[in-house]
This record gives sequence, structure tokens and C-alpha cells, in this order.
Amino acid sequence: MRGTRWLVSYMANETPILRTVDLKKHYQRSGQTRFLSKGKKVTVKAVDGVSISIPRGKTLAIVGESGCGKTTLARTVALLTEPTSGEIHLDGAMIGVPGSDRRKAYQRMQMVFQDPDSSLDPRMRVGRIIEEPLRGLTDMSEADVETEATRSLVAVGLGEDFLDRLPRQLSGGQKQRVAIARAISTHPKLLILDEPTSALDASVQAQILRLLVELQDKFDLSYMLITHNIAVARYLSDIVAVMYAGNIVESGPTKEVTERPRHPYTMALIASAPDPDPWKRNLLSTEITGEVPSAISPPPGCKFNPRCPYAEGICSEISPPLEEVGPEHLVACHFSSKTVPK
Amino acid sequence: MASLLEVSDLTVNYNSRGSQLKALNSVTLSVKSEEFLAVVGESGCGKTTLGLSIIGLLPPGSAWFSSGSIAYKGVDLASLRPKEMRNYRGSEIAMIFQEPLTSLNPLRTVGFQLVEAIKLRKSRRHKADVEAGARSRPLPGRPSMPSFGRARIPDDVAEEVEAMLSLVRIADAKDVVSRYPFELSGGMRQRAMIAMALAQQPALLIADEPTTALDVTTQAQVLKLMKEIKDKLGTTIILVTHDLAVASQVADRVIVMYAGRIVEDAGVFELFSKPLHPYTQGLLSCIPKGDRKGSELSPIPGSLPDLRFDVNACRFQPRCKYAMKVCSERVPPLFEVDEGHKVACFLHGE
Repeated sequence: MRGTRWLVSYMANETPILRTVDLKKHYQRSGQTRFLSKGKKVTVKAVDGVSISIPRGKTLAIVGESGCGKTTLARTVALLTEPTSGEIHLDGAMIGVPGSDRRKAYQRMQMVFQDPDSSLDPRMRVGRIIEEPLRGLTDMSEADVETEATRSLVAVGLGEDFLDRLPRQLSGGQKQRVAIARAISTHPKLLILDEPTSALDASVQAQILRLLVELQDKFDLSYMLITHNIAVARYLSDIVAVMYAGNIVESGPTKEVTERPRHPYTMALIASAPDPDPWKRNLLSTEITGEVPSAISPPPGCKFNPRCPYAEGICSEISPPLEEVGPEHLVACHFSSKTVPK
Repeated sequence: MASLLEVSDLTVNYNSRGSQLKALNSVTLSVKSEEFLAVVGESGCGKTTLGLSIIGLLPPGSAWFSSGSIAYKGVDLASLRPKEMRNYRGSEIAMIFQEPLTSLNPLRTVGFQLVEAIKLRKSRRHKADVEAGARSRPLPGRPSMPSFGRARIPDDVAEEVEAMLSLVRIADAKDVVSRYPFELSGGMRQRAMIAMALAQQPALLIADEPTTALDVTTQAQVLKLMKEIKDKLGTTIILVTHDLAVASQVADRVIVMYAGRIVEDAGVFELFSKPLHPYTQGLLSCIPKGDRKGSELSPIPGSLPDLRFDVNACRFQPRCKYAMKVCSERVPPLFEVDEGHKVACFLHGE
């Protein structure tokens, strides 16, 4: 029981590797322009008050559809963009504030992006790509840098002969392996994986997923996995948080949330994920309608209410807070008592 | 049911950076009328090329048929001149693409583009009627410049636009017709595309990864819609997808392709209960089911082959755990192992 194990370590009050408190990222954007006149400034609330916590050595999956703010959350946590408000604690220390050691934070936390074609410099050889963070973030000697780079490359299943290749000489899967090798070269504690397998073919996706599991065990890594794919989240994560329009609507142990979802949106998301099973055509019985609301003018109250089969008057007035419905299982829904699985 | 489309021994060559490759390599398949066929494979397997070949949209100059035929209702589309092909494209065979934003005209409203499709169909029918010696009806207005809100389109066309949009489950049709593609969400755009394709009442609809750019909840809605259309209008559908799970949810029959060839062709229940080709089995075991403790993933080792080098062997053989001597000596033909279940593997024939 992975869920229970996680609970035990969590209750032992170990400092989580990553914790965010009411993290917000709002973007200012000029609104729709009319002829010869500028539109009003509008605020896009991409991440609107997110608190998460990742126990050491565990994987938290952030699941949601495009525009829900999951990538913005990852980029904010990785300090690639400044948070509007809120706190980020990495390994017990607050980061992203004046006086905190940014270099050390980057060394402890690395990111793997969705598309290796755009995250690898096409003119750099693989060796230099992997050495780059070592040169920038550590004080290693040149000789150490080279041994470390080779070590990372071997750890991701590529041989030393790849050091002199250029990204274009690699297949999609090999490129993503190089991106992972670069991320683990500085011995980080936390890897932020933003859709690491979405750009890959099915047979290669499985190889990368296997590799990520292997690396986690070998180097005691913690993962923050951003994905739209429930099956990938289910495979890789211990805890899952479902995001909708900038907020977390449900979170808890992965098994619990995916098998007994309580938020109507999580239920729809799981029901819409196709199973490779022609005898169980869940997709054709899905009842969800509509699409993700715009982040500029989300509906008032619970942002899911226009699409929700359980919605009542209160849902368009008051935004429901996250409440505990089971051990470590949080749901933001006024009617979570109605969604108890039979 | 009669067969609507017969592709036999089709080979398509591409020019790629000075070298030639076979994107399709002796592909033979037949599609029955009112069938929902899924063509599944990874990138570069030729699934999109197959769709483009059928509708005659291969990039001119850099791709050509080097052998084979595509018989649609008895007419070989592969040998038609471009002008003759136009009588089929759109009206008989329609196609929808992965990213609707790139296949819709960004400068015209959705309504304009729908009206265009409907008028085109009407003028074609009219022409056909005249040729058939039927009583001449007045031509509907020019197919250019219809617009919404200014009453310049005939009532019957306007009615049809609304009917089409409600068929694809766009509720506020009046609002949507006056919008430009960029003002619509991804799901709405794809629905509008489907409406446009159906406006010409095609017998065959080719959908090339229609839901890949969409979110899962929207994907579910669009796939459900395609299934409904097939049942309601009797349109034959070829769904091109990389996702076996999607195919299992909607298709009647599934064709699995690898490196330009068909490796397995079977009814959907047959394929998922008894996958025979090692590649199909591999693809199925690559789909994560449950957590990592419950089900270990067994990825297919290696990567996709380079099609620039033509080999006289099974393309999958370097990645196959059952590879035998014969696999590297000859190309396995499609063996019919069961009624309607074909597989290109020496494990199951000879």
C-alpha cells in the first residue's frame, strides 16, 4: 500500500522536499483591442492560490487540461517566473525571495520540458548540453564536470559515444534521455517534469516512464509531474492533485483519487480518458459538455459549475474550499457528500 | 455490406532531402460501406500518407504513387487527373485534420465557410442533374460572398447551416456562424470542421488525428459525435490515430501500421483479445494501466527505423523478441489467419 506508506512518512513530520503556500501567479494583459483604442488591462489568474506538498522520494502528479495552469505552476515553482504572491519552500528553505540562494535552489531542483527539440540547443553537442548546468551551478573542476556528465549519460541508458553527437542526430526518445541526463547532472533532489512523454510515440513513452521510475529509486529523487494523461499520472505518482482553471479541485493518494474520485470534474476527467478496451466503451457514455473556461473571466463561484451535473444555486455564488473527505483526500466541492462512490 | 474502397498494393514514394523513401509500401486494404475503420501507428508509419493518398492531397512534386490502385466505388482514384479528382474530393470523400486552426480560413467567419461548402454541393448537384438531362433548375447564387446577418443567403441554405451545426452539437448556432475561427475554442473549431466536411454529404470521411490537439474531455465529446454521425448518416469513417485506446473505443475494425506497411488488420474485438503481431502486442503493453506495482510496463526496445534505407526484411525484426532467420531474409506478406484477421508475421504463416 503506497498510500499508507506515504501517510506514515508524512505524519512522521519529515520536512517535505517541496511545499507551496497559497501560491499565485497572475499575468497582466491588455484586453481585446478595438479599432484605434486599447482595451482595458485584464488579469489572467493562471495559478490562483495553490498549496501543495511533496514528501521526499515521492511523486506528485499535477493533472489537468490545457489552460488549467499546471505548466505555469511548474514554471513558478522552478523560479522560471516570479510568483505574484505566496511562498515556495524547497527542502525546508524558502526560495524565490530576496536573500535566498538562487544558485543553490536551481542546483537542487531541475526541470525536464515537454519537447526536447526546443529544450536542447541544436548547436551544442550532447556532452556540452549535460555539462552546462554543472559549470553554471557548481564549483566542480573541469575534470569532475566531464566525469559527472558521463555518469549522467550512462544513468539514462545512453553510452559515452553519445557525448559528441548533436541533438539532430538523435531520435525523439534519445533526445528526451539527454534532457533528463542534463537535469540529473547536478544531483538535484527534485525534478519538475513538464509533460515529459507527451511529445513521444507510445513505444518510446513507455521506455521513458520506465527510466523515470528507475532513476527515482536509484538517486532518491522526488518528482513533480505535470501531465494531462491520467494513465501516466496513475503509473508514476504517489499523490495526485487535479487542477481546474488555476485551482486545485481535488488531491490525495493517487489510488484513492483515481479509483474513488469525489470532485465532479475529476470524475469527468477519468471517465473521458480512453481505456484500451473495446468491451468497455466508457468514452461513448461520457456526459461532460462544454470546455475549460477562459482564465480572464472565469465563472463566479465554483469555476466548474457551468459544466457540472451536480451544480445548484450556491455553486455560482460561493467558491468551495478544499475539505477533507478521507485520509489526506481533499475535495473542493459543495456537494462532495453526493459524489460518494456506491 | 459492399466494399466502398479497395486499396491494393499501394506504394507511395517521397522525396526527402535528396533521398527517396517509401512512405507506403504495398498497402492493401478494403473498407466496407458504413464501416468505422481506425488506422493506428506511430509517427512515420504512413498512416497520414494513406489518408492523403485516398483523398488525393499528397504534396505534388515531392510524393507520387509508384504502384498500386485506390478503387473507390470502382473508379481508380490513383490514376485520375487532378481535375477529375476534384469531383470526388469534398463531395464523395472529405477529410478533417489534426489542427483545425490551420485548415480553416482565418479571414472568413465560420458561417461563410459553411455556406461555401453547402453552395458548392448544390451547384455540383445541379451540374450533375443537367448532365443527366434532368430539368434545369436555377443555379443557386454565386458561391462567393454570402454573409450572415445581411440576408444574402437563401433560406434553405441558412436552415441547413443551422441543421449542420446542431448535428455537431453546437448549441448557439446563431452566435457561432458570425465568429472567426480564432474566436472559437479547440473543440468548437473541430466541430465546425466536421460540420463543413459533412455539409457536402460525403460517403467517406477521413479523420486524421482529429482529437490529438484537444483535451481529453473535449476528445471524448468529439469522438462520441463521430460515432453518432456514422450511425445517423451512414458515413463511412477512416480514423487515423496514434492512440490504440481511442481506436478501441470507437472503431469496428483496426489496421495497425509500422514503417509504411500494414502489420495487422482485424476486427476491434479480435485485435484486442488476440493481438497476433509482436508490434501490436508491444504497443498494447506500452499503455500504462494502473500503478507501476500492479502492471510493469514492457516497452518495445529500440526506435523507429529509418525509411530511407529500403530493406528486404521485416521492418520490425530488429526490435522483435521473436525474430527468426526468415524475418531478415524476406518481407512477411499479410497472412489471413482467421476470417477477417490478417497479420504480416512469419510466426503466423508459412
